[in-house]
Amino acid sequence: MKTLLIFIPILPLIGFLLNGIFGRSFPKKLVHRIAITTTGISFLLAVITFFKFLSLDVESLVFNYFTWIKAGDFVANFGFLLDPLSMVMVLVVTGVGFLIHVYSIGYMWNDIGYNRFFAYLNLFMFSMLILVLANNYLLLFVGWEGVGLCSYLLIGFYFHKKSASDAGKKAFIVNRIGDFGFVVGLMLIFFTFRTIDFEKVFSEIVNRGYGVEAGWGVLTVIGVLLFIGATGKSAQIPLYVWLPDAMEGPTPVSALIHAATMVTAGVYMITRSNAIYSRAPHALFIVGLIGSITALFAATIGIFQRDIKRVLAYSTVSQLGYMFTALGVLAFSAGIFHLMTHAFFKALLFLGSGSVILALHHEQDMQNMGGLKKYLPITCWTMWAATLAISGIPIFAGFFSKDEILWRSYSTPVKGHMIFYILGTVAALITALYMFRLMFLTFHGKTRLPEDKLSHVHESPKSMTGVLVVLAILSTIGGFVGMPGWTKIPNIFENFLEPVFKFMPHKGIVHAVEGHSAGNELLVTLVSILVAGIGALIAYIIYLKKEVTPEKEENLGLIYKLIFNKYYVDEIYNFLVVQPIKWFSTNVLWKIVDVSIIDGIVNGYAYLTEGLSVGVSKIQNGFIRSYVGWIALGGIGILYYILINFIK
Amino acid sequence: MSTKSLIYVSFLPEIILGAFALLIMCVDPFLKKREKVFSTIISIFAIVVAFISNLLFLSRDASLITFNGMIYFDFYSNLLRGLFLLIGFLVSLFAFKYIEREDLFPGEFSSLLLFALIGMDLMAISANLIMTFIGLEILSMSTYILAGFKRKNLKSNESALKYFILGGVSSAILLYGISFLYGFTGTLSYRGIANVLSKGSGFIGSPLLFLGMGMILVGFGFKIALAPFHVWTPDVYEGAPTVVSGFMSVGPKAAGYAALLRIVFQIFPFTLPLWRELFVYSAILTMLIGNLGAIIQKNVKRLLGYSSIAHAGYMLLGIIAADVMGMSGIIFYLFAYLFMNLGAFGVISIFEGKGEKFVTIDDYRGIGFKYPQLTFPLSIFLLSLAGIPLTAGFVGKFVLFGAALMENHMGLVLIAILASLISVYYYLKVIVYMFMKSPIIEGEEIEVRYSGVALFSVLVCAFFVLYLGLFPSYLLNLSKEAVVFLGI
Amino acid sequence: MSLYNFLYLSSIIFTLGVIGVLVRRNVLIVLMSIELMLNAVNLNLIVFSKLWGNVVGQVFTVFVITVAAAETAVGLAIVVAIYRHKDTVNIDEVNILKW
Repeated sequence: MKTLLIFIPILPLIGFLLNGIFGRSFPKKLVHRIAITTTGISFLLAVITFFKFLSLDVESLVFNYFTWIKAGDFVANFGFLLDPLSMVMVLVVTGVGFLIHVYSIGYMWNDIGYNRFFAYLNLFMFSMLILVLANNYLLLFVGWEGVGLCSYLLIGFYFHKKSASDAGKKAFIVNRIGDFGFVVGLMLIFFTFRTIDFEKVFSEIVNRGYGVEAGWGVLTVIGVLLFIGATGKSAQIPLYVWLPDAMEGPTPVSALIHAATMVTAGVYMITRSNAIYSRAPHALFIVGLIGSITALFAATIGIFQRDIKRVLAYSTVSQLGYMFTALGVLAFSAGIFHLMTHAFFKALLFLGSGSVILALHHEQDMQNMGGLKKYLPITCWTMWAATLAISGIPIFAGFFSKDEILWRSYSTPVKGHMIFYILGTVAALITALYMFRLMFLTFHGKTRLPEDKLSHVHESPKSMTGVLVVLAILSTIGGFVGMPGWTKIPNIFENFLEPVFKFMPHKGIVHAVEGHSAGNELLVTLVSILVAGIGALIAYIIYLKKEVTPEKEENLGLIYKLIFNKYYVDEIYNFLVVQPIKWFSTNVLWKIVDVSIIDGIVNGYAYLTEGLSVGVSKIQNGFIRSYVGWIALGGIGILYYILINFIK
Repeated sequence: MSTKSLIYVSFLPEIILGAFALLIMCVDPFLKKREKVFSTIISIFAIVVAFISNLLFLSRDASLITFNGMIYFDFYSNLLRGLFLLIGFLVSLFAFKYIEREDLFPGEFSSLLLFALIGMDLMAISANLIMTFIGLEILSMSTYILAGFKRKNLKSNESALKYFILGGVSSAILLYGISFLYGFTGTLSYRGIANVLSKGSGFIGSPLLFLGMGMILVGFGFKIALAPFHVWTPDVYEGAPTVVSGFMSVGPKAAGYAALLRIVFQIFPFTLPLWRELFVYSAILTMLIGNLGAIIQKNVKRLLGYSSIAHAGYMLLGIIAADVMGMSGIIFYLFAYLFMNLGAFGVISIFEGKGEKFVTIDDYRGIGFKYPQLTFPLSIFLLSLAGIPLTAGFVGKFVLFGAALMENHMGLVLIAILASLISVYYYLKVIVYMFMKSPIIEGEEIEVRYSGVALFSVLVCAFFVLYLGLFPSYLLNLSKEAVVFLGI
Repeated sequence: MSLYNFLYLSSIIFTLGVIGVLVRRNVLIVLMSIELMLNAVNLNLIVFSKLWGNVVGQVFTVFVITVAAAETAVGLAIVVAIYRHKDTVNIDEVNILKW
């Protein structure tokens, strides 16, 4: 099993090396065969490992391959930790990753840099697998930086576009800020516990008898620092800005890296550190608050975006916010559950939108879509499955995970849980609204595409639609492993993950919340179904019945329209409700907060360093005599230091 | 082994290097132009022989002082000497084609390189400040000439003049410091001075001693480019012939650190707590200046010049930590830095073409997938310099920062992390230009001509950068074994 | 004559050397100033050698003188090379490498 496990990440690495070094001379078919075989086998190995792991009936397994760094009394092993959590992550990463590789054959076929694309994608798979399998924080950091690097390379894949390279730069700078938090957190862990091994750190916490910290103890500080890292990688307020721009990359990349896997690294890392967070209520509160605000905030921005991929990007930010909300109320397994279902349906949404974009020859503006159902039937129906899932309509995967999160935040008595619940519920309404809007504008109603273009529209090749169908099935049935409590069906997923949380101080709070009956839980479920329904209904009225198009949205609220429009009432409704929200959403949230303030901070940071850099290099004025002056000055400085300190 | 033969054994590699250097100087004038390459081959041979002799006579468990109390014969000497010879070896390989391309003189280059190696060795193995000074001067004078090796190139001349004047001033300051130390203790041997200093704390108020120590710090600060004595670095690296810049960025720095470690821990162990604060200030200044200065640089050589300042700052963290982990971290980092920086300079020396035409980042646009055999290694070197995991640079930095952290230098480590995060920006910029910018449409484009030897050494460097990133334990153990002899 | 008088003298010479390097523009005079600094060191070493009654300092002085001679030779060679290019030995005109 030890050798089996190491091959799961190694295979994509081999694929990367082959395609990266020799790829230019390979025929295209060989390039994707290499990429797909390696990831496919690695998925297969993951499945085999999964069943072996189940049959062994152990809580966790640690495999140390070799001692990586050993200096002083510090030891870091190159080792893997196999437990239910990493098992789930490995299955998701290899599974979804494999599907997206297959999809990419069709999508990228006509692109230059075919080998480059697959090489980067395989390198990404390798780094991501290292990230989730690592048995210590340092090795996790290896994967963490690796996926960041690949993401950076892939965002700027179409480097001839200026927007693409700008987006890459933005992602880079923002993630530096996050990484700073993460590295400092890592150092603090090392400093406090003198080890960075997951299990050793956690058992050290238990052994030293750390209780739940009332104030700002060391665990809280570590928690906040690690969370800063997570906000960077997982695109939470205030560091989320890079993710919408990251849509400049090819669509399969958006699906794999910027929706299904890499951006969830922060969620994974915090879940992994549950022993720390469960003892740090302040850190936990920050996690939950940031998460739930992000969930709502990003959803509102999503409402009026015209670019189909941008809607999905904001949606991803919002859904990640949900996951952090779950973590904030100690519902770690619910967070991971949502991570898994989200990987299915969001990958599907992105791949579906990719199929649309490809069919329309790289058209992403929803103004120029509409009525595509006829032409792209498979894409349409599979995307509907995902839409229902993300909106939280019963029996679809997203329903179970989202419901679990809302229920936990309603019932778990941690600080601020009701705020989280309300924010989350409102966000659920808006989620349904923007997703149904997206579907109506793209696939239903009258087509707004010119005739000559329409004749070229055709369904994507089988390799792509096949992937869509598989993901649609997963998005539909994937939720059944985590049944809500009132159904009295055991929650398989949560029970499976149970051993991961053995270092938590209060098991009871996660497992069963006392004082709440099944009736309450059912009520919460009904409320979330209801809000989803309302959201969908609003979208139906506005975008299907009234046929409001993105362009019309822009013209809403002009006074003469109010007078001459026969749908007088609707216009008032528009003016009073939609328009303010729209105004708020585009002008305040998107333009001011998103574009001006946060971009301003990011750019300001860049300008500041650049200014300092100019200043520093001005010291270097080229005159030898001034250089001698600096040396003399340094010498005098040392003498002065000596004079005031030692000479009495 | 008799005492007499031990003397020669402990000094054998230097004798070999010196003999071959003289041999080259005698033989070279009689060689025809086509045969000049022969002297480079002799120098490589000399380095290999010296390396083997170093390997044959290891002193792994005892620290002996030989040559009338002038040199240490211990594992620290062995390891550092190995490092220097490795530097010499790789530099000669890179120089092979470079010298021919730039129409320089292989004979002089090879013998000067060998002399520089002798100087570096002496600095690391010396047990007496006279010896240290002589080593330093042999090294400096060779590098002055090497920096100005392109006689007809104004930049090279200027680089040599700057290095020479500043070097002269700083070694005069160093000497002045040594003279005070001699005045206070009456001896110049490391052990002798340490003995005097260990006798009670009477030295605390003595101006002679502290002036001496401060000025020695200036001298070495100059050699390893610590702020504010770093000012020469970018200019000199930019102007000097690229292979020489590569050598200067790793060689004298390593030698300076090797000598500084010995001096700090074998002469001044008792006064170290008093000095730590100075080192801390200097480290902060060095890291920030190096990294900030590099951000706006367009010339790759100059960029690496600034970055080398920053790396000197990271290594200083090991001295500040002053424990086994920090010390061995420095030695490890010197090795890592050797491979990554020399490798990077090697690739640059290939790309620049005849007359060093292509040295700005803009020239590197879009060459990424055109010459993968060179751009991939260069990316590895740059990522390693930036401290991205799974490379030698990351492990080195982690050990150094970790050591400083263990000794409770939280703020310093925070700044170090911040500085190295800034550094990722400019290293990655080069990679981005190579892989993610459209190639130049008009104007001249990089045309690569290289010898198999140079490619081989690039690949060797890349291999070791990755190897040390994945399996650093062996080297870390060796470094630990070596620094034990410093008596920490 | 106390020891300190010699030390004062040497420190004056040394400072003069430093000032010379800082303010003079002629490379040759700069070289001389460096020489002056080294001679201050020599003076120090000899005084201390007398004080301690051992020859270490005197031996070191011989080395310093040798090294200084070699250094001057190298320095003059560099200056000649620059003079051939620029027809000047003004140190301030040698500044194409900057920033």
